[in-house]
Amino acid sequence: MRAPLPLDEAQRLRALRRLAVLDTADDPTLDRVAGLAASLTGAPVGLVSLVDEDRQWTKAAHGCTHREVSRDVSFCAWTILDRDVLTVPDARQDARFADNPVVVAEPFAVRAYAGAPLVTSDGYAVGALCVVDPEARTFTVPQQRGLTDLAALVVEALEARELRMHYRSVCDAVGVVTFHADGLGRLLALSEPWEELTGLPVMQSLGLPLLDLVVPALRESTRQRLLFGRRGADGLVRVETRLALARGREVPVELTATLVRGSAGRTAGLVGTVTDITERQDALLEQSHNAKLEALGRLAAGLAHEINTPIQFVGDNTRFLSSAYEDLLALVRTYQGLMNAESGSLSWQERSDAAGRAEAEADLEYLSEEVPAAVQQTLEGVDRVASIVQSMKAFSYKDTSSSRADLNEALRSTVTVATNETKYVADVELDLGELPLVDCHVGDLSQVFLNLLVNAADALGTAGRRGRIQVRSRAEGGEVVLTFQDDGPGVPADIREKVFEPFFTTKQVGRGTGQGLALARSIVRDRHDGTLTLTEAPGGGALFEIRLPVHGVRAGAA
Amino acid sequence: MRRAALFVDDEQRVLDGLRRGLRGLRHEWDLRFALGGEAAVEALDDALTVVVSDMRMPGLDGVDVLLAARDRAPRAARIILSGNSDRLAARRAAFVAHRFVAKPCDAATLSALLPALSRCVESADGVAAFAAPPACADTVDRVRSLLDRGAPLADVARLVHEDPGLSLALLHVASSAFFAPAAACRDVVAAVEHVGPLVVRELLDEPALPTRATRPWGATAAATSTVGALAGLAHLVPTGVLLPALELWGLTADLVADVQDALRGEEAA
Repeated sequence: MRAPLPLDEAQRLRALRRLAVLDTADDPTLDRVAGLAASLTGAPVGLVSLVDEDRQWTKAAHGCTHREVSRDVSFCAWTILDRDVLTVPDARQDARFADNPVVVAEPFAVRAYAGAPLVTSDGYAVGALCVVDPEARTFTVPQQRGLTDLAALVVEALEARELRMHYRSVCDAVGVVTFHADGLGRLLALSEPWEELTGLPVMQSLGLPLLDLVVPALRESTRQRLLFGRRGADGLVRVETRLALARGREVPVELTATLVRGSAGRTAGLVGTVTDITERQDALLEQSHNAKLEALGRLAAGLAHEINTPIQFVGDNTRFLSSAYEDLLALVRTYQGLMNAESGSLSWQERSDAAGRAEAEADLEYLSEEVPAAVQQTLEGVDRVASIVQSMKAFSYKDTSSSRADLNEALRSTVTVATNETKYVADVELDLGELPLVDCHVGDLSQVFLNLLVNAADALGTAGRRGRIQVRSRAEGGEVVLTFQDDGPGVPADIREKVFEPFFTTKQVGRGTGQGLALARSIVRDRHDGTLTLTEAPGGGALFEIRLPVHGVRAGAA
Repeated sequence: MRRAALFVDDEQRVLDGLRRGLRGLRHEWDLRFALGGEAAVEALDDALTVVVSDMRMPGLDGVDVLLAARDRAPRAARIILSGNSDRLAARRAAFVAHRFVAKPCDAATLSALLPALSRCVESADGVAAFAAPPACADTVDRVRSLLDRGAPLADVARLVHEDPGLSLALLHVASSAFFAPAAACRDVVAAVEHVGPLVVRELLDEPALPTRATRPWGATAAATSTVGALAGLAHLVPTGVLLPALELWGLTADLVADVQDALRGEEAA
């Protein structure tokens, strides 16, 4: 007789598929469990059977090599109908099995059977741990209970196997390395992609402090951040750092970690992930470089004007000096002629008149006034061009490495570069306090400053009157504080946070991409562990404040 | 009598440089200098032959100064001298400035330009006051749609030739350094090619572009060439005014000569 289908057959089959165990290779552990079941009951054969749609497939066996039988003749197909152990003391006397070919088969016939259903943690009986005996017999209650316990172990093993597999394939697929470190930061566990990421075998890395794998220069800052860094809304701390690999190579990674607290709140360990962020960083660099170019593009017209103006008067003055030199030279030649021996016959009066005429022709009085001024202004103009070009440099390279920089200098450069953007709408006042050198990506920060400055100018440009932009800096504890304040219309409280969202813009099309402030905040926060906030200035204008730790640079792109 | 020229800039250094650089003109010219747009407007008078203004200045800018000059110094040639490559500003200036000279510009160029332009404006009354007649709004629309479709420039030019105002405006911006280095463009195709369809498109959208709803030339046959289009302007002013005016607006001497020949031919016929 064929066993009826369980009521939950469809879901049951899905649960079986989820285990992904059908048609997999032998598992010695499960073979041993099957052996245990056999010896527990004194039966010659023990099996771990899974009941598939049309067949019974044997995952593990003891005392038997059968792999697969039709579900039509399966005993276990009856076992899965219930949650209790199914015992069949004598199959020939049992209406369900009397005509079963397995029961009448030679040389090995099944006379007695006991099977405990394999019930998954979500409640589906996917198969059975069973024993069979060629002799009719009974199974004691302790034997049945033992089968039930072993069946639970089998399920546990199958589910753990599934979990491990999932975890591995997921980790492999996304290239995420998971780690678990103890209270001293030593690695207790690492997932497989670790080897791919670092080239170091997992077994060799275990037991080492995680920080030993970080490049030496970043160990202390990485430790500080892991332990005391700002936690995201998900409770995780994210730290960008670099791992030292074999042969002096390095890889930029993001550590995402959470502290595991033991009893009494002591740090019991750290679990988290290690992600290769080479590509992300390249993309970020590219993006920030592009934004920089865009900003520079916008400035180009203004800069051209700022440069062309001094070039204009430098050129005019130089041409004037050249002609003045000729005039003066002609005058000198006249003097020389008058001093010549051949002029000896001329009276003093005649000489004096001739010299006076020549001086009048050369406009000596005018030249003696104008030449020094022309020289002076020429030098001024050259200095102006030089300082503009100098200031532009900060914006024109890819800012891959951090350095200790004078941010006051960067602020001054930015104000110079943005002169043409600001000078028609506002007076820019610099109030720069004494600052320590700051570890930072100064090119990126200059871009942030430029963005804030140009934003202020744009805001004032719509105000219809000349405004004021105040740029201040001061040191405060281990931080530097830089503020950009304008007396424009300000930003309404309800959109103050929105301005930092990508693509948010109040400017007309073509005036800005709306990326500026989002990128600015990302640069300040993600690359320097600082903050960029917008509040209302006294009098209603916008007040942007940047706070940067003096030793805050994220070494990601070192 | 000495001619008078007014130079306007918001930077004293630039004015000082110009004064020194143009010192060679001091015997023939009364050179005046105004610091900023407001001072410039104060300094405008009918005696001026040339007004040269910076473009971008706080308060009144170069366009404001030249617009004021059009009224208060109607006999003066109007020049923008700017280091700014802002296209928006250049578009506004295109319809009021006879010439657009890019900074830096050497004194020799200015020294030569001043007498050349003053000869134009002094050759007849009304030369400096001559402006391209408003373009026909309908023609502007059709040119715009041709450009949007990426039509061949010859087709665009054919349409532009129907409108003398538009023809002159395009030749004017191509011949001066508004958007690109000045080039000697002998016809509309060359002009459009030189500044590029994008700039032409922007120019057509410029609110400062004078347009009128009706076709002013309904009675006469539409011109089929650049020379023909420009010769059509002789209906508005005497030849003696038109030719120097075309030169003043920056058209090449060759092109002006061709227009002159065409008009002579018409007279003879």
